[in-house]
Amino acid sequence: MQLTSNQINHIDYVLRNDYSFEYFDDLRIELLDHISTDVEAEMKNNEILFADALTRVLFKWKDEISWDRTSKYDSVPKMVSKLWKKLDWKYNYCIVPLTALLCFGSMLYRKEDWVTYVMYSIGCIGLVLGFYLMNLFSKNRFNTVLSIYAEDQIKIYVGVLVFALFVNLSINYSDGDLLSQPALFIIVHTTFVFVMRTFIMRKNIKIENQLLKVM
Amino acid sequence: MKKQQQLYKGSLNTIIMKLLEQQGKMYGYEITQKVKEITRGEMNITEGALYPALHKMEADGFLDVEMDRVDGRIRKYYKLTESGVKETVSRMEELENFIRNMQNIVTGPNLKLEM
Repeated sequence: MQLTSNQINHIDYVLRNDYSFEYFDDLRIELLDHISTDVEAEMKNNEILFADALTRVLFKWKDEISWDRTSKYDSVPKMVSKLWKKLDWKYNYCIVPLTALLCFGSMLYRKEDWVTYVMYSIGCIGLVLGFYLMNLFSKNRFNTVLSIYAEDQIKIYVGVLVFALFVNLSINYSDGDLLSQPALFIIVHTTFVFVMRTFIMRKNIKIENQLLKVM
Repeated sequence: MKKQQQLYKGSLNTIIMKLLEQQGKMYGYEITQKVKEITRGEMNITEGALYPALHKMEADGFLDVEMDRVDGRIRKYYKLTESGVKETVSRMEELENFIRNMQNIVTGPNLKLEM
């Protein structure tokens, strides 16, 4: 028993409006297909109407597609917040010890000017990646779970990096001493954030290409 | 049955990867139905377990996706990447070792467990 396009559109409407999947194009498309297939099977196996079958199927899904009120990401469906929390460990939390290690390492050589140049180079890489990411997001044709995660607060991060570089340069210029690096941690940390998010966006390109192929 | 579900839970990723290795490419609903069919309804992969596992493996680079238009809607297929194939082989070895060890413990002459 195949669903009509009106019935499929109705499921799409429910996912967008009742369960906040409006902004997750990739996930909504996937769920739409799964729920539609499940509804077709319910209608066929239990000889029930579309509305009853949809209620049954949505009941099965309720926990996963409702908001996760206990999570840090409390305004997105639970299945999104689950993935984002896993990504946090891989792409966010691991940056802190890495930054600390690099900053501590640079402290050991802080009497040498080359350390300052290395730090400024890292800051410049961060700045380039930050603007590259902002450019990518402005051209984004689809919102996916990965792209929304990578876009989170990106403008604030770029602003913070620019400000940190400005503070460091001003201090170095005003006292003529290249060795003071008050915003070192911020510069390194923000650069790492951009590196990780560039990795995420590289993965997202594949998903976007697939979406472009079928939409 | 519930206790058995717990035992299966730890091997969910390996089961999905093995299925994808055998079938080439599959979509979410198909995976749940295939598992039900193979285990004669004993194992039921819930949507709440399946999709987080698929998305995590996709983010880790073990799975690739392919989309097609089917019956008026878009279907997302999953297939193993090269690193996914290698990972499947190593996970299957681990699982086989685990099963062998469990078998030895349960049926071994010195460690015969009373049921």
